[in-house]
Amino acid sequence: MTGGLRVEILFFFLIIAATLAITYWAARRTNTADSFYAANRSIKGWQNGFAIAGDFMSAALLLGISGLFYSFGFDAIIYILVPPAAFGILLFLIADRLRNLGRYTFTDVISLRLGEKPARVFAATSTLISAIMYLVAQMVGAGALTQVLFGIPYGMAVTIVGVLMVLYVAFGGMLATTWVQITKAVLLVLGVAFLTLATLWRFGFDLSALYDAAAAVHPLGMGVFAPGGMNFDLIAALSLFMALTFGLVGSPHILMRFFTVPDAHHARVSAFVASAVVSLVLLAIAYVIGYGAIALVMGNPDFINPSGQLIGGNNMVAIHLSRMVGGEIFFGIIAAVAFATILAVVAGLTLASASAVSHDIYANVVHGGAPGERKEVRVSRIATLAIGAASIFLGIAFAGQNIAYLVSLALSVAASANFPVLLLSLYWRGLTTRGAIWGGGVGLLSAVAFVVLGPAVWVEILGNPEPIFPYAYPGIFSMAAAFITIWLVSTLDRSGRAARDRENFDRLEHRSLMGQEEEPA
Amino acid sequence: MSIEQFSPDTGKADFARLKQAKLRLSRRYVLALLVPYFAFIAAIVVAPEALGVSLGGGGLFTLGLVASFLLIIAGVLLTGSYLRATERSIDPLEHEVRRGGDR
Repeated sequence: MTGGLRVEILFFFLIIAATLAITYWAARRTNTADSFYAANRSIKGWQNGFAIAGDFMSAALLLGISGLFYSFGFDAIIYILVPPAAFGILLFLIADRLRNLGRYTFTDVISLRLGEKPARVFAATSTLISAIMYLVAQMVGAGALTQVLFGIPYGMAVTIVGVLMVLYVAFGGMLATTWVQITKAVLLVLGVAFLTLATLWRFGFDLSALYDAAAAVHPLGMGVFAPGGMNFDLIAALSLFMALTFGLVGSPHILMRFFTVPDAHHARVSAFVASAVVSLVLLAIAYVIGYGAIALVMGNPDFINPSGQLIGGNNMVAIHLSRMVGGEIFFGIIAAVAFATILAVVAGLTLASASAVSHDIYANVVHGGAPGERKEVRVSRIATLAIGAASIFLGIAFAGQNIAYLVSLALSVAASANFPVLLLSLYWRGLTTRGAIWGGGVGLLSAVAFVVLGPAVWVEILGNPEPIFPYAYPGIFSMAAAFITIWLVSTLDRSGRAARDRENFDRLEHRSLMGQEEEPA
Repeated sequence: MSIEQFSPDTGKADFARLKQAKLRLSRRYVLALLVPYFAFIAAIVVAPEALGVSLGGGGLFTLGLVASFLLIIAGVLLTGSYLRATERSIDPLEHEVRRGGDR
């Protein structure tokens, strides 16, 4: 407390004021479909890179990773390997082609060469499932975190987050969402940099002294720097890595960002900048903040509750560390950065979900692509409002529950349904509409079934003693099922539509490399 | 415009060269990135003692810790290197195809 006004509350209001000012500015420039979905393609590559980094770095992810290092040590490194791998794949295989082919959503790309209606219905469905699952998980985390950080009751916290995200998206569209992301990413980088330096300063900038102190207090001792803390088997480790990596590559809210830049070159720059920003932030979290938290917070009576647990749980370890090394003011800043992180990520997810409803389903499936721009934007705003209301309701309904399976489900669906169909649309001449729908459908359903039968739902939620499917992240199985089904059904497909799908591949490939300006109007 | 109304000359030699060059570049970089990453994750499970070998600092700086740090940095450097490679070798080919189309 400082002078009766808690510093974190002051920063909380500052963040709200700044993001609403951004929304007001963006709203005056958001009146067409191009501006609503793609910020008029006016975002520069490096700006978009920061926005993508912001989309990826949710509060749950950042606090969760420091919590994993705090609990298990070295094995949490698997999570840190995900961003360079995922952004590399996006850059090497997808980013520039996606930008050259699409308008607003990745569904635009796959429906170019395949039967438009079935392709759009399938991709919009998997977008909605993955984005909404992820959104609800974020809302539950947001409510809990905001409650702990600012002392606001859970229901009110979820409602504040929900109302703000609806305002950003409905009025400011992609432009507001992008600049909220950029602001948050810059704040986060600065916050993590300061926390890293302040932690190192405590040990005279001697990393061995920090690691010595961590090994001295952690139950694993020196084992905290070597594999073994999480007791992975080979399939579980690979499946986790694949679900996270390809789930990120197939995430609609990340893919949508590549349409906001002017051309393919800027799309490539975006992926590079995002990879650099996220990797450097996570390296600092892993190598300094995670081990620093072990050294300074573990066993410290100031952060232990009467039952002997860390106050707020192990995911709060980075927040406790910030208070310890930087005092109340720095704690207030880090709490506000975490709050900004929540707001930015839920806004991105809401925009992706609303676009699936308004652009893919309403404009292109129901109205054959010609409902009129004003009508389409109006439907987007209504969809944003409906998704916001549903996520507030679900966020409150899921209060206090273990929602880890929602994240697993969202990423597994994106990895197993979106990614295979998108990749093969771009690279395999043999892909047909039937193959894409059957294979994507098998990927989606198997991902859902494996998560439900796995430890996260079957044991944790339904209370059964043993899971039927042993792995929390089924990526390796559901992705294989999707790819095999796509190949099998497409190869056996002798329909007239299949012949057209194969013929369209050359056209799509040409456009994906040369862009649309090559074509006659 | 629907893609079915679009009829590019995909048989042109310079376009074929662009297509092959882009595919070759992408394939190389994907392999250079993913093979070491998957190998490292497999090593965490099948050879944990090898990654636990100390490289200094009184056992604090293990092979796994140093290798994972280098892998992450290498991943970022690879994306930067790909960006340069496309600017040097793919973009000029693309301009050539465009110029050919203008003639």
